[in-house]
Amino acid sequence: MSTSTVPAALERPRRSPLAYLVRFQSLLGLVIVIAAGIGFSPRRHGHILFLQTDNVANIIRSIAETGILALGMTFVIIAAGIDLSVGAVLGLCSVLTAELLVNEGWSLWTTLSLVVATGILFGAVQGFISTKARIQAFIVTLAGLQAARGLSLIASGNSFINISYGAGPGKAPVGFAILGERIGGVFPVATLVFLVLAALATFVLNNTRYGRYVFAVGGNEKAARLSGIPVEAVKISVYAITGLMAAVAGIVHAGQFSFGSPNDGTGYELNAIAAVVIGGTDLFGGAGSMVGTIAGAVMLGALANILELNDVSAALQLLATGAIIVMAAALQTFVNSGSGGR
Amino acid sequence: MKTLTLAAAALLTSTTLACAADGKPIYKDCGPNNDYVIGFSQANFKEPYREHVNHELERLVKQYPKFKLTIADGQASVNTQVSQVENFVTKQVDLLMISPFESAPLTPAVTNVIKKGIPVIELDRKTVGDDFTAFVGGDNRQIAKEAGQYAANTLLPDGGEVAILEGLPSSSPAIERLEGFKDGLADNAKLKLVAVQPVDWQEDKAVTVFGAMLQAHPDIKLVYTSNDLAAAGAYIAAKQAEKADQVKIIGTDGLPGPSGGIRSVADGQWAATFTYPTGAAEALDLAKKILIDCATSVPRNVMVPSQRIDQTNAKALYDKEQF
Amino acid sequence: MSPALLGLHDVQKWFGGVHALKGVDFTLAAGEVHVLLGENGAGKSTLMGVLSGAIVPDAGEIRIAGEPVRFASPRDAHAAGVAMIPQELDLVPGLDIAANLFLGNEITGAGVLQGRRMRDAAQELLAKAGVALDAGLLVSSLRIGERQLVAIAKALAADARILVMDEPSAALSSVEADHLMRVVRDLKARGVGVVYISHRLEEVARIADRVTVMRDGQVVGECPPQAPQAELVRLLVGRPLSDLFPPRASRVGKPILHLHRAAFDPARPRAGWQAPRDVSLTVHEGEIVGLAGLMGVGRTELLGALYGFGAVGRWSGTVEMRGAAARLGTIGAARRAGIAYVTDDRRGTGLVLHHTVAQNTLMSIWRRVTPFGLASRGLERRRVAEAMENYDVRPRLPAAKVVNLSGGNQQKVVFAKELMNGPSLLLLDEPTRGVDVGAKTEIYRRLRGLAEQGLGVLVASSELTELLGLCDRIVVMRAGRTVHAFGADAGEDAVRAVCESGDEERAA
Repeated sequence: MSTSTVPAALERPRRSPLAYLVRFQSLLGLVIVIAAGIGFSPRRHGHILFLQTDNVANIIRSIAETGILALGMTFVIIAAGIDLSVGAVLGLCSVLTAELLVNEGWSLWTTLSLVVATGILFGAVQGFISTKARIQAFIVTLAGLQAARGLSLIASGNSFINISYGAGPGKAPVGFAILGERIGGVFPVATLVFLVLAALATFVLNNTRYGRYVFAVGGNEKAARLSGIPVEAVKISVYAITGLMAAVAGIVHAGQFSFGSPNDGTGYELNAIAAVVIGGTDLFGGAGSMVGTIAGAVMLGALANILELNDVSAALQLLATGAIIVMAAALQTFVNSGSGGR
Repeated sequence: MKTLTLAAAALLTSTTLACAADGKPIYKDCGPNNDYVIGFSQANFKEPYREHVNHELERLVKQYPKFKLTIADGQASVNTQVSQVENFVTKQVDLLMISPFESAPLTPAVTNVIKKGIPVIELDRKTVGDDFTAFVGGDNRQIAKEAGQYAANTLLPDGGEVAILEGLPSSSPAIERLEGFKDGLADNAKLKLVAVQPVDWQEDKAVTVFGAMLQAHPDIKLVYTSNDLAAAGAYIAAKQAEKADQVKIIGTDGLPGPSGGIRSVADGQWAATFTYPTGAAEALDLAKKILIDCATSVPRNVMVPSQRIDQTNAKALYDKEQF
Repeated sequence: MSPALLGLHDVQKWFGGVHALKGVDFTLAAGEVHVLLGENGAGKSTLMGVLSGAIVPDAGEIRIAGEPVRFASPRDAHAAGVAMIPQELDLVPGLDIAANLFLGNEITGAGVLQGRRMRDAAQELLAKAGVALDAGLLVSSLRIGERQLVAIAKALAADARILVMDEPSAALSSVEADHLMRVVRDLKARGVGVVYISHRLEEVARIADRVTVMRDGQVVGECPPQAPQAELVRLLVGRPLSDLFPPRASRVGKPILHLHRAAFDPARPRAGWQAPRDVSLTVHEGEIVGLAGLMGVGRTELLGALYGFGAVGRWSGTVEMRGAAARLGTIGAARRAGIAYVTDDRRGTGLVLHHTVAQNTLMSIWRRVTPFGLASRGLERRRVAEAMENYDVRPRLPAAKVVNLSGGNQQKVVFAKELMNGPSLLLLDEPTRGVDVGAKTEIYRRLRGLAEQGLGVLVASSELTELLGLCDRIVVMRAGRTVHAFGADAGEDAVRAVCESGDEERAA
């Protein structure tokens, strides 16, 4: 009804400072956290502990697995979905890796291929069920979470599996141990895996047709369908991507800790979602940024680190993380309502 | 409690001694005049047993004015716990205590601590290999086996149906306690194990699961639970089924306090519980030897024995511990 | 002479720099039905807001039965006996009729709801409004027309003396609309004054005692109900009807879409989805064909079945594109056959509102601007700039979010998006819904321009005036069937007669 009174404000390009804030909120948040880290870091012999090479390496190692999960989660959330199963799929894949390498004596590459295929398949099946049976992704992946935990208990025979290295039966190929090592004694290999995947995910989301489709489907599924975009294929594929990422994270987990347990990755899905949300991706879909997610993940890791270096109690650490998530979301809602968003 | 601790200390079984080379002190910055920071990386804060360990450590560390204790919550995640161990190194604590959430995954991180010259005392669970200074703990398998033998020989000499409520499946204490108890049961061929189900250490789950077990096997005479919380749940289920008198309950942990297992035995709700010792006093004593007394060697394996709490001693123990 | 039941004098309202009401006078007598006509943006919504207390005027006076009043909130208006029935009915679907009638005003005893007493009282109110419905029915189980009647009963429950109805018949079938008319006449007889807002000219003669036409924030005329429609239209749009529409096609080319005795068989029939049952029509190059018919006869469904959305199913009979049999039924097939579609629900299904103009424009052609699956920003920029220029989307900001554009410009983006693919047949569903007169004229001109370039256009509309002015031919539908085709020179009365005859057949 107000068609004739619609804003003239758009006659010239204008972006409020607040909008810039949101666009780069995760990077800004990261800068703030790092600045705070430096400011509040305990010092010893004049050295800032927070900035010590070892400490930085520790931070980026600690976020490798959640970071990998968050990359996949970004695709799903931009496509207006959610995947609660990633932590459990990580557990499943970590158990499967350990089981196949240690107890079944499979070669490294066959094992890794099968585990990755399992993750992709698990995700794709969830996407398929959600899309074809029109069940909300929240429910399907909640069921998937349970199913993956069950499968991993079966795969492991209700136990955990320690991975020891060497030749012969009951030993994993020595090459697999590389995932737990640090390049030059400093840079964690697990983080390298994360960085490579992060670059790949950023490229796919920002520079391919597929990425454009993901945004369109999440923005307005019906409009995307009417525009000839293969909506169902896109929706199924984003869950295949989270499955893939969860599988890689599971392999990294097994390699990093020489260990596979059905309980691995419990609650990781929430950390991954937190990283995505802090990164400025809209839980309603259609908007988001991979770089934001990466920054969000690093930010969570840096935050936990600085709180721990200062001996902040576990309870306060949880509170601080919660507060940051709410602040990120509030900032976004505020700006969205300001620009006449949904 | 004090006497209990001393009695336990007297029973220390040490197999080998952790020695520093050439008779040098284990920790190079040791001495009676310094202040020390001890970092404790706890596997998680969720289980009451873990909470009890934290409380014991915090209570007992007050006896050592030179010690400052920091406890970190591993949140039941090996990734988180590894980070915390790394952060303790960054903070340059003088000594690390750790209850690993799982053994193998924490091993490289702990090895790294030892390499930096920081002594490590492990509580409750060992990492793999030799890279730790000392271990203080109980033997899950042994404790559960004793419980099984107690059930087989004392509680049900004439046999009957037995059930087990397991902890979190695939976690190592759950597996060890399950297997140990089964071993103990073997003492009496007339016992029949009719049901084993995991309840993930949780009381509410134990209520549901044991309620269903009693439906399926109305003649269950005894249930072994892998922790006190599960035993409390089993009691509720038995009461709801009006079988509290028929079913004998054995717990594990033997926690003190009004909501702990000792009281439940004293009140006659359970038949027995087996303490899983915290080792807090022993661990702090070792820390003192290493840091303040500049010990060149300490006992490597300190096994703190379990104590059976049953109708004969529960009441006395419960009354005594009201400190 | 006793004072009018309601009197507005020189009411003014500004929104920022926009002068939405420029001194409006309006009166309503007890027992009168006063129809308020106006295009979108004419100011009738604002005026309605003033009447219902939702908008506080900047100047002017409101009197009720001669007494000056000030409405600071809808609550004040309510207390003064003014009840509003908005287009989006404010009923709670999950509650029954009785609970809705007494929402916020429940009958309780000792703090406990008195269900039986409320139902009895509700039944009485329904009877008073001439509505034969059980008060215990869930509102979600009612049809739109029935809900409309419940909303009226709800207004009566609050002892309203003045009823403001916003396009009450917009979503009703003609049977339901007839019933509504009867109820309104009933209210009139009981002395209730009714402000009846509409853009349906044909209703005026049936119900009005008086007609006021608004345009551009002003009252431009007050007429008796017998005023000729052409005169009303002239008042509404401010110029003769003929100026609104571009000249018609000079010549048409080969057939693009040809349907003969075609039927669509949905895999899962749905209530309220009128499948095309027997459709014969042809759209030629350069031709604009209109689909007329009452609400619910299957106009939207026909377009949907051609484009492959709304229902899964298969066509039978003759379905040809450019002379060759075509297998339509999925969006992919339709697009490959060169069909484009503009939805009637621009905001819901046409656009991604919080995406940019660029993102929306390119949505249907990502495949073409992503060589080897890779995005090319240069290519994207060029195509968007081109499209914005061609369709005159303002402002020329590819990065503007479409939610911030006016309705007319949003519609242009939808057109640009759909036509980027170079289709040969364009399906349009209610293409001018919610756009103002200026934008309408532009859309008509543009459609004609596209037709002249050889595009075939099939347009469904509930506004007969629009079809009559725009189309080269008009096909009338009834109950999923095409029943008659008219040429460009058809008279409005003749087309209307065909649309409305056989209404009983549909009900069967």
